[in-house]
Amino acid sequence: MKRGVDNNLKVSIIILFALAILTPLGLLTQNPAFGEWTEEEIKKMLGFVPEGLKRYAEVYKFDLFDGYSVKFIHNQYIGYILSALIGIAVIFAIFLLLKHLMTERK
Amino acid sequence: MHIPDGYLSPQTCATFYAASVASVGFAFAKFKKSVDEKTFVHLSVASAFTFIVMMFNFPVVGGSSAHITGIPLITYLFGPFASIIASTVVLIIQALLFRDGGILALGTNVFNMAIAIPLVTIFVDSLLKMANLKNEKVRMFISTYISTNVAALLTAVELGLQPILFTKAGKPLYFMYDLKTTIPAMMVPHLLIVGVVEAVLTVLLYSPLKNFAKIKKEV
Repeated sequence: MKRGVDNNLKVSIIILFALAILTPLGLLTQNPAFGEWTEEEIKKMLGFVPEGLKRYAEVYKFDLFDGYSVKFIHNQYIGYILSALIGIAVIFAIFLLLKHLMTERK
Repeated sequence: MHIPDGYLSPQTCATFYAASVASVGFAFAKFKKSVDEKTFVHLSVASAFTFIVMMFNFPVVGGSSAHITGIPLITYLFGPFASIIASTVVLIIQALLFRDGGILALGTNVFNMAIAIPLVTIFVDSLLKMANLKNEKVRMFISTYISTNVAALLTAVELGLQPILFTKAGKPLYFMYDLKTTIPAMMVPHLLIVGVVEAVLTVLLYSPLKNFAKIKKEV
């Protein structure tokens, strides 16, 4: 039983990485999502950028992986896959940390 | 469905931050009680899965694109509280690292996706159970379809209220299209396509994955 669960975990992780490699399929559509436009796109649509929108749009400036790209990598597909892998790594790290903090306290 | 910064007034952002912090805090307290070491391993895989699934954008009607979240599936596998924690982690990373969804808007995005989807999924499922609908797969399909659309509706209403509530000299201060535009623009693709894809995925993947998630489920 225990072994079966571990095998399932292994298979799940393999599937996860396979999906990560396939993420560039998500780039095939060039359509922006409704309500997720950039300031330039809004300007093109309306002819102006609303004042408040302009004020708050850029409060957060970290853009190393902006929009699932990687700043120094110019191939968007490779950037996208790298972003997927970075995301997975960070998520695992956060849960590892949570586990450490929460099981120690018990 | 990830609202960027600048689209919502500070008042809207603050309101939803308050609601989200309270809800995630409550979920975390519940989650803490039922959690063991194995849960963390499985939940981190589930969380990563949600993250990856959201990268698969596909075109939808009306010249826009959308993605599913995988959150209803995680809710069925791990229960609502673990699902809230796992998806909140994903949304925080998306906002902080990849600028997918704003930092000021994070409370709102967490509310729409990480909180509303698990709770509505479980709520509709229990209603259907009470209505004596015995087929688990049918219940899953309906609950997932509804929760996905509730999340889209919340997003549409929050965005669509901005130009009604917040203007200056007749011009919108933040998001520019009101409910007449946002509701059809969000709901038509979600009712016709996204909700169905999400529901099919939940039903198809639940059985093969349920052994993997064999952990003590809360609730």
